[in-house]
Amino acid sequence: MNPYLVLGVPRDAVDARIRRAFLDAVKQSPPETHPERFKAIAGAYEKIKDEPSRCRYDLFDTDCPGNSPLDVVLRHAALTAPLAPLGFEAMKDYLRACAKT
Amino acid sequence: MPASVPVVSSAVAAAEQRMRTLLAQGKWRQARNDLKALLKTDRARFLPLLVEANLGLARQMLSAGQDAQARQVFAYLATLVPPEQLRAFEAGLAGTAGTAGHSGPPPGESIAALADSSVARSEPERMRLADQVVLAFEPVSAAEPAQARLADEARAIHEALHAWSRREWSAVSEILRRVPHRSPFSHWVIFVKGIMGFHTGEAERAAKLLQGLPAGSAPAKAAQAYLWLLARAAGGEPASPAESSAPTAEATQAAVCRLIGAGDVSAVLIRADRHWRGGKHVESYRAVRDDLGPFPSAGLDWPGVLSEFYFKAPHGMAEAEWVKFLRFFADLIGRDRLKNEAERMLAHRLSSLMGQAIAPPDELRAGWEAFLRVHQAVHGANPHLASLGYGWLGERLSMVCRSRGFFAGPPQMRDPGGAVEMLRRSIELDPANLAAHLKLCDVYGALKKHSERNRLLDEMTARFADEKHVLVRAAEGCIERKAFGKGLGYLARARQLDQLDPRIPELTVAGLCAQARQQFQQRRPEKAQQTLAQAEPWLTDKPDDFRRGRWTVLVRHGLMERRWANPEQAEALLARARALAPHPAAMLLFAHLTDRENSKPYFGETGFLEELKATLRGAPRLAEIGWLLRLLEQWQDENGETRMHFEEKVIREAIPRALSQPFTRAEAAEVIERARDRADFARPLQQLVKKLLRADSLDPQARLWRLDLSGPWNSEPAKDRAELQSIVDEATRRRDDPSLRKARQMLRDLDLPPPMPNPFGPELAGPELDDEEDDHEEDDFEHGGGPLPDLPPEMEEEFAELLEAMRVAPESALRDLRKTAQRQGVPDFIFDTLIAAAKGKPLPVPPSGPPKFSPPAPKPLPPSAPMSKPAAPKPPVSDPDQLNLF
Repeated sequence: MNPYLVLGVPRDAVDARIRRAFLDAVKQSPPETHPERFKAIAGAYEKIKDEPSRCRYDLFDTDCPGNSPLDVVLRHAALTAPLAPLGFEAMKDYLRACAKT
Repeated sequence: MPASVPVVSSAVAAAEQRMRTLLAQGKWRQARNDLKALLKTDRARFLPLLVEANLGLARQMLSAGQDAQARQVFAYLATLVPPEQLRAFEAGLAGTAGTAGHSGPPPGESIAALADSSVARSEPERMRLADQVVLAFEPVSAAEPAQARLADEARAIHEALHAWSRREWSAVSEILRRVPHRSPFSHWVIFVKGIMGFHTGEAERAAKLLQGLPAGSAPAKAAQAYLWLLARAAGGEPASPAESSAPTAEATQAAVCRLIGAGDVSAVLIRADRHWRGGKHVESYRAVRDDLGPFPSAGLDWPGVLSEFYFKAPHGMAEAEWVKFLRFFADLIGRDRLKNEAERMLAHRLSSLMGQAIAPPDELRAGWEAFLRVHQAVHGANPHLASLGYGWLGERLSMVCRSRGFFAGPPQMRDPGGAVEMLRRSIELDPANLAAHLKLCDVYGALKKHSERNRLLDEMTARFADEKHVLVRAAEGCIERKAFGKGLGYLARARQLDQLDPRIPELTVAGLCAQARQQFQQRRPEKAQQTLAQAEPWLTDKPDDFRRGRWTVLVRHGLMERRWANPEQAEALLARARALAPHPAAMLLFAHLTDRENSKPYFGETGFLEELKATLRGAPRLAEIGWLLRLLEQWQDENGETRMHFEEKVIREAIPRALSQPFTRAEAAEVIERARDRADFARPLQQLVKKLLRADSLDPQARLWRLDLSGPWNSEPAKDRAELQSIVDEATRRRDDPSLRKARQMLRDLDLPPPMPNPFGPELAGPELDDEEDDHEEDDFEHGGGPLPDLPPEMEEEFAELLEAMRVAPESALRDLRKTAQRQGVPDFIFDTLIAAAKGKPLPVPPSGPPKFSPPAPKPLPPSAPMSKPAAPKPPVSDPDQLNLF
């Protein structure tokens, strides 16, 4: 997945901010309890931890962020938190649509 | 007369009766008007009914689109009821507009069915009825207490959802208390609590609640998307709803899209996903491209991430698939039909990265530079990034590739001028880009632009004063051009940065020896001796260290003394060297090579080579030959020499004699591995392999050598395949992994044979020497050992065309061609033969004996010093490689 999204930082984030985000993320998902998540966080940090890394990421990275288009969008949704509650009308539509399945 | 019922009470009763009738008939306005009067008689009794009438009126107005009037009714209601109750009423009435989309029985019926205790209903049935009530989103008024209670519970669910949508968490909890545990609506309570936990960060609690919902219920279906998002956020890898094509999965897909705010594009995404999974990658991309405005994009939103997906997925595709995908973008680029700048940037990037190895240089350059330009336009200027980008391009343009055509010379750089230009640009953009500097050095070196390279290296030593690699390279350049003081100074600085790198002392010794040589040549022997003494701290006593082994420096010193200063001193030094060398033959070969170096530009034999020949004529050991080959290899690597015909011949001719002496498998392996790629070694090595196989006919490694040495032009694929398979089986049995891997690779190569070797390759690198003591009388014309190779049939036509071209070419063109051939290492004799063959003239006679030259005659050699004591025999070992074969 896009390392900026994994760490929750914007594209113009500086080294210190990225490092802070990395440490916060590791605190929330330590390797002992969240091994997969930690691996993703560590991998993301390696890719953008300093400017040369960020440049190389922009130029040469070829790691695909998902397995299919919808998979990528859903992964993106799962990363970008928190979701806001739907409006009442939207929730009504949502419940009715789900009930029809 | 007794006190009669007051007239007012009768009137009130009549009014009440009329009012109730109006309420039941839904005549809300009239009922309200009656209730306003009745309220004055008994507020507590008639107030709820007044509220109900007003609500009915408001609902009626909303259904009729009379929003303003409905708001007035609400304003009046606000004077009658507390605010929270008013909110609940609003919530209940807010669903009025959507009731048209809801298909299902009226909620009142469902409530009545639920409350009817005379009919036994199953739990799922009760749940279904409850779901219908909730999903209707209509307030239900009921007269019967049981129905009223259920209606109130349903109303509570609606109010809770309303409060949830406004993030009023405490209100949600408060409202849900109105629904008892055994209520048919209790699963809705769990659902609302679960989705509240989702948004308040109580992920575990939310997951537990939502997972506990009864299967098949409306809330359970609605919970699937939330559960998927929770599992994802927890860092797990739940089976993505996108992984399956099941309808329920598609429903979850659509549900999640709604939750993430992509509900209006869920159909497009699902369609694109279906295409992708069906292998229709271009169709998938087009589906999204055509129907989504903000796609492709370079941002971090989901269109941006989706764009990233489409432009990175090809790197993992099979070739046929990515070629098709790339062709689509090539067409868009060619017709200038790109959708936006993000697409332009990503398309150029993809094309350049995927085609970096195969695209013509100008195409690669144009594509990559276009990508860099657009990247700057989209993301802003970044000189470091641009420098990396141009450096990469320069590196790609400097890659060597095999030349085309029959008269194919050595591999050439793709675009040398372009490589230099791109690398210089990279350095201008970021002077701290060390990689670009180093690459440019390599390119200058490959192009033999030594002065440019040295100038660059000098700049680099100032710019990268703390980079060891830079200092070492600069030192190499200085030593090469005889700027010894500067070079040794760089090495001293490098040593301070890394005291453990062995290359630094090696270069130091080499530099000091070269400096001493220069000083000897300048007739300053004392100075030279002082210089050589400075090498002492860096010398080792390892016999196989040909770079700074003490014996090798003694040889060098001795030869310098002999040629330019003091022959007596020289003999003493050489004697010491002979004593310390691992083998006399090694010392002789090293001395020959060094002496030959000292007598440049003249080449040829030295007295040492004669002595080596004499030594090897006796009973050489295969181990000695291994040493000689090791030494030759290192000498060639370090000095870039390719013409070692005399030395190779001496060693080659010693191999058959060594076969009569005991040797170990490891010694045989070393000789074979080091000599297999050398010209004309095939026959003696085949004899060696034959001997190995006599001892162990199934030895997989030996059998592989036998196959390898038989040469590609004589291979019989079917027979070779059977033999290789047998080798695989034997190697598997013996757990000989290296042989197993090699055999498997050779089997694969049978299906995809490597390109034909250059017929003017090493096999024809030099003329055969006419040595009367050479007992290899057999014709050397097989395996490319003669003047011209035995060409495979498919090359005969091309060869004939070449001869024809040479026949008609003017002399000036032939002169240029000769120069090209010389640069590519083709001997003059071969070229002359071709010209003669082309023009129908008599073929030239191959040269015989070493070339004539007249260097200063070396002094006659003294008798050899006594040989050093042979090493004690090694103790027996169980390793088969170390066992004697005899």
